[in-house]
Amino acid sequence: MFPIASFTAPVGGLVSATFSDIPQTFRHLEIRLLGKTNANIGGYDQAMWRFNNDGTTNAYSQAALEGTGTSTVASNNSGLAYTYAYGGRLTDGTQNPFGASIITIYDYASTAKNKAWLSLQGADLNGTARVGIYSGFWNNTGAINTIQIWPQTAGWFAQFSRIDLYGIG
Amino acid sequence: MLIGFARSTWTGDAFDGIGIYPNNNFSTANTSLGRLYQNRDASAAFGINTGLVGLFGWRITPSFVANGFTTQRYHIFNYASTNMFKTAISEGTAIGEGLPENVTVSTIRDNAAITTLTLQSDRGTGNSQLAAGTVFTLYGIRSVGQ
Repeated sequence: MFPIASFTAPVGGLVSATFSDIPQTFRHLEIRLLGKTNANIGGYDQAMWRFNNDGTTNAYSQAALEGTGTSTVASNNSGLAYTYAYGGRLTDGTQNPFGASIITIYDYASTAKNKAWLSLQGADLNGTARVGIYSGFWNNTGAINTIQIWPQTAGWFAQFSRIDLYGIG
Repeated sequence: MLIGFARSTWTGDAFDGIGIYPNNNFSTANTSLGRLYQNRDASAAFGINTGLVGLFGWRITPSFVANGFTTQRYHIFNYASTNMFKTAISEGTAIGEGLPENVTVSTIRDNAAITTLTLQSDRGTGNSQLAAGTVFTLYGIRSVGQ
């Protein structure tokens, strides 16, 4: 696993992170995200992402199996209704713990396949937690050369949040 | 990243577990977890534990399951930071009864950098040991510039 690039949120926070000019020389990509956002929004937030700046309607779909609160939840946000994808679990600005996610994007450099990814993600807030696995689909065969990531609800990633991009040979 | 293939000498009829104790801290109840797992009846369940001493969530196969070993992969994020609590996510499976599949998130409420990890049976070393054949491998993951 080879480090490609990394973002760490400074004191004032990080509105979004964009990995561009991603080398096309690896077999897969992996993102390791440790993050929280700035606002008080009930404990949790999600990171969102887009590939190659594709914000068109019906570009993305995803499914999840997650433990949340006291129960298990399975969701299927399919139908390609989304202009972005769910990219990872975050905590909010009232919390000390950070959410953690490992996202594997398969065969990202292929120009013959729509892209799929799988993520393991969770956040534990001492008495409440969310943890689960997500899968997703980008309805595009283009090679991925840019990934933009931002918080869904809050304005920015809080200080010390970090996002590392790796290539897997 | 910590990868294990583990088995316990525990002879009871329930699962044993591995406790992970960062920095040899066996006395402070400063960890908690959430765990999504497969139940004994094969249904999915979600559980919360608080006030734990070590980093838990890793179930290992007891001795009555012949030649059974448990796999688990632990990812401890930003372990060297002194600015934040530590978050770990893990995934694993166990052969035998109960909790055969799980994904877990844990928090260590301590800003100290992790310099030591001690792994042992969470039933207590006087009651259970890690059985012969147990293997743990610890990996470091570099970031850009490291």
